[in-house]
Amino acid sequence: MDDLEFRRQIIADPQSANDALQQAADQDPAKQQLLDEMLGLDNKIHQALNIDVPEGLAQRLILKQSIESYKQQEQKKHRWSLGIAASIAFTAALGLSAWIYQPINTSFAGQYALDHLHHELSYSGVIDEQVTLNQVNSKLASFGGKLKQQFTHVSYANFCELNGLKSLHMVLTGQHGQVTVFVLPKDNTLTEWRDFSDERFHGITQRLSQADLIVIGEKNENLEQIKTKLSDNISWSI
Amino acid sequence: MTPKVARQVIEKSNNHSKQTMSNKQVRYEALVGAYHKDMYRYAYWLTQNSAIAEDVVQETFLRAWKSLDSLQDEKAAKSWLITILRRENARRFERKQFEMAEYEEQHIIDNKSTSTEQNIENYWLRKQIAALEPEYREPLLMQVIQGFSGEEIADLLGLNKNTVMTRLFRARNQLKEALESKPKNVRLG
Repeated sequence: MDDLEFRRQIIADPQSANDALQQAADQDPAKQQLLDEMLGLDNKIHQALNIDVPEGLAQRLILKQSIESYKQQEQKKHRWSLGIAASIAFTAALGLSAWIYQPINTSFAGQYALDHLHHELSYSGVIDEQVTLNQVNSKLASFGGKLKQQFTHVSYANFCELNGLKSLHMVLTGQHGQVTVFVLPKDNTLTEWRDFSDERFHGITQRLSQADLIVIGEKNENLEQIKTKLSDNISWSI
Repeated sequence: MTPKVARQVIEKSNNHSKQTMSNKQVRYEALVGAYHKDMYRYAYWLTQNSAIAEDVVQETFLRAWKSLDSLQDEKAAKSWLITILRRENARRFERKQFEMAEYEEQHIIDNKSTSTEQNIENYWLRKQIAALEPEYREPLLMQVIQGFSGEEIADLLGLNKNTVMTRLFRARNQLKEALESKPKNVRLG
């Protein structure tokens, strides 16, 4: 190894003195002296560069990061709650408009009756209160009506309020399962008094002078017959 | 999905993210513990101002924390941090927020050296290091403070290894000559 190359390597990186460099130094006291000198200088440089680090720097680094982390979480939380608030507001607006337009949506008498039926089917369909003629009449009385005789079993007769409209909800026994009868006061705002149906039930309507009737039964039920029996059997006081 | 199931899934994922978070926290604190001193010294010699050095180190570690997931190999941590630090330091010039700092003499007075002789020499050497051209000083910092090899320095600085070795040679040679021509009595402060 020539002198120049030795110098070049030793000065550039004295710590990495390899075998070849060490061998060269062993053979030449001048090279060894340079190597020692450069290692000594390196030591001094190391000391000189080794300045004091401010006290508590590590803690400050961790603190800054945790504050930043907290800020980010807050932002995320904020965004999250904003999202929730927005969706609540949206749902509320949707609900409000649904409520406002409800009379229009349910103004169809048949739809009202089907909604009402499906809404209460879970219990009105299973309970049997074995309602007597007197009990039916006590309820019909509020419409000014009176049933002359009980032509079929009545399992349920109660006032219900659905969508702000109070009606008498009766469940009779027909030839093919239950027949639901709604007796509505004349001051209801329902329209389109005509026959209706859905995938399970069908229904017919009749507007009497004192009340409106809606009769709903299974698809194969003879509703006309029940309606006729009803209107024939009820006498209206006024 | 029932609400109950949904809640369980969310709770599970929350736990998961909490866990990830705390793992990340542990990694971050380990990184700070292991490297903050070397990073500070590097930043100090790069900026020659203790306040700016601390700012740069703060920004460096904050950025490191934000992209900690990208650090897959702990062995690469040091050069990863140096890369971030150098970028943060460069950003400082882009922003022009800081003035180029004057070399802070009062800060580098050494309190550790035992003898006055050593103290004077140390002081003198620090002045000489501060006076080195930045392009000579930085490879030296990488080599001495960070313990990087010539190849690693070349990689970090985007230079070829021969250029790096030449710069290291010149840096040390200048310091050597400066020490040799050091006046006998240097007054401190």
